[in-house]
Amino acid sequence: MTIVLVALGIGMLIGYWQIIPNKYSRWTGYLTWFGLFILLLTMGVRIGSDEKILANLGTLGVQAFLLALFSVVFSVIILFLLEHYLISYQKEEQRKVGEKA
Amino acid sequence: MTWLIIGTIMVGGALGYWIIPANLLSQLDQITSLALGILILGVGIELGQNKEIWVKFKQLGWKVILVPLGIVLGTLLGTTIAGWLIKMPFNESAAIGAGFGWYSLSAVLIAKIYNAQTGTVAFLANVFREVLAILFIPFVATKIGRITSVAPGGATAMDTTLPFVTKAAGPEAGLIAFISGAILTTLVPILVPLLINLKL
Repeated sequence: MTIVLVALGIGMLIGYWQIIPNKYSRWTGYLTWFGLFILLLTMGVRIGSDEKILANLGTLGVQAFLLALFSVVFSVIILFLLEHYLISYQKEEQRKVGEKA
Repeated sequence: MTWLIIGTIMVGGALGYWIIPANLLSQLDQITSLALGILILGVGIELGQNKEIWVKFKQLGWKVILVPLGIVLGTLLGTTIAGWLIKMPFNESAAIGAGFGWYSLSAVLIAKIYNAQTGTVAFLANVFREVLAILFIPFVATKIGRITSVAPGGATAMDTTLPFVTKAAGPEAGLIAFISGAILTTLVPILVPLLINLKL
């Protein structure tokens, strides 16, 4: 876990300060893809060699769908409440400005 | 891109099922740790280079940050409730939610740090989130609210679901979607490892 946060922090500083010259910037994309490729492949190997996961793939899919549905629905609910607050706040500000004039 | 990701996992799955013995996997740990370091370093560089976001931030003011914060809150609330329904521990459901639709990164992080089964659910759940977002956005934008239509996409609101928001809710919502998606994208590699390691 620590490696992730440290690597992320170092990466963001390298990116922000543009330490890597522009002509090599394509290579960061290739490196990211290479790392992702290795991890996706080994994740696949672990799934393929785990009979428990393969046997339960249907159940896991249903669980995943529920998690996705709830994350979408609840983030919509929270943003709906926020949007109302933001808009009524804006109107309030406009009203005050109107009163002064 | 999506098919390349799914294809790679499936090739890995076939190798694991037929060819690679399980005991070899434990010896791969150093290689995957190195791959994770490289991946996250690259992700960090790309996020750091993205200075466009600061310009757009100034255009809209600080209050726009409430949008990604609201999406974080709603997502974690939603996945925690769903997790409770399917009897999934909080650290797993919260970490899966914190993928915010970025299925490749959240899945490999969880599979590497935690276990392959939860990584599988994280992959599927975040793929489903992107698909549901594409289906929901037009409805949310017209019936519920323009800014609210930024919510379903999560981190994908800065790239794959951005055109859907812009088309259904207009360019100003598109600008908010980009900023919100960029902030959530930055939060994925921070929140997923933190949440999956939570012991409650």
